[in-house]
Amino acid sequence: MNIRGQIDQVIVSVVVLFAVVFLMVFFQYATALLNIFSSGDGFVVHNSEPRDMAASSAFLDLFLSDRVYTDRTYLGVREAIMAMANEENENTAFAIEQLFRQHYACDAESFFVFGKYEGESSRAENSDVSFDTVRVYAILPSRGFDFSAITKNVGALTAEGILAGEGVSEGVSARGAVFRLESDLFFIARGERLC
Amino acid sequence: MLNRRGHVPTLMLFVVALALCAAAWFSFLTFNGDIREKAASLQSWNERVEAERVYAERVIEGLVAGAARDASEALAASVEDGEGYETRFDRFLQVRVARFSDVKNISGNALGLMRTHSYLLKQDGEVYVFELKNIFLKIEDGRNSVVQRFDMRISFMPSGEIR
Repeated sequence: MNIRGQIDQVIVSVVVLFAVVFLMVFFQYATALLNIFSSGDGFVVHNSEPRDMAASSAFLDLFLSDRVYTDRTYLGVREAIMAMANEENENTAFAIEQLFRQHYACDAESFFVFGKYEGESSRAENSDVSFDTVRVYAILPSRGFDFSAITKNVGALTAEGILAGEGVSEGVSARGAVFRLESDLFFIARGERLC
Repeated sequence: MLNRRGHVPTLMLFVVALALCAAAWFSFLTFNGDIREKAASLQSWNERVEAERVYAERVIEGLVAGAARDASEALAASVEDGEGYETRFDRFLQVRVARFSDVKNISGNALGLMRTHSYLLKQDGEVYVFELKNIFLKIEDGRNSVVQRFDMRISFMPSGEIR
């Protein structure tokens, strides 16, 4: 009797084991199915914009920290630009342009824009900065523009807003570009590597 | 009768396993967390960490390329003064690092390592190899912080062209 009882128990144990395994597999499939329904159209989308903007930011900082030889003296690009924004200087402009062309514009997608905003300004609730007038001093590499200042009326001081001006937007996209405001100057740059 | 009583623990095992499965499933179903929101937050954090690293790598690469270019130009323009390429490279690298620090700083020790000459520069045939080890970046956001440690190895021509 004992032996028969033990055999019965072994049989029942095997059946129970299969039942538990079946339940676990069912559970696993059910969970996977729930995940599919909850994931929708895929919420993990790789966004390359921050990476490109970081590269452009490094590109801009390297250019601003570089130096140019103008009027028999070495001058940091940043200081040269600050000086140019107050008083235009053809030699300095030429030196900056040459530096950019030689060592920064190796990639056709690279560009550098700097300018100054003028007129009334207001900061909207959504933190967009609005200005009446922007004076663009340089678009490098120049696409039909030279260093002579271009005064434009723009609604919002953004990379897209400035580059979308007549003629400027041709072949130029602001995607991956970094836009920076410093005092009353602005810089827009996009670049991957130096050459 | 005794034999049937022996089945009770086995049947209990089945019932308990079933209850455990149901409890686990219930906890999954009632998990209170917006996965999308959390994933977006983590993704944003991950992108920021990656962006900081890309920024640091590009800056280091640019400073090295610039210093190499300066050294090459100075070597070509100057009179023979016995100063080797490596010495000139280091001198110009210090200047560039100092100038860059005036514009921006990198979170971490990358600029400090270059400032303290804690790098290796060796010639390998036509190219020079610049090695910077144990760079760390610390990215903080509130109480969260991520520390990245990495090495960089940059091969460049004496003219500054990165290979």
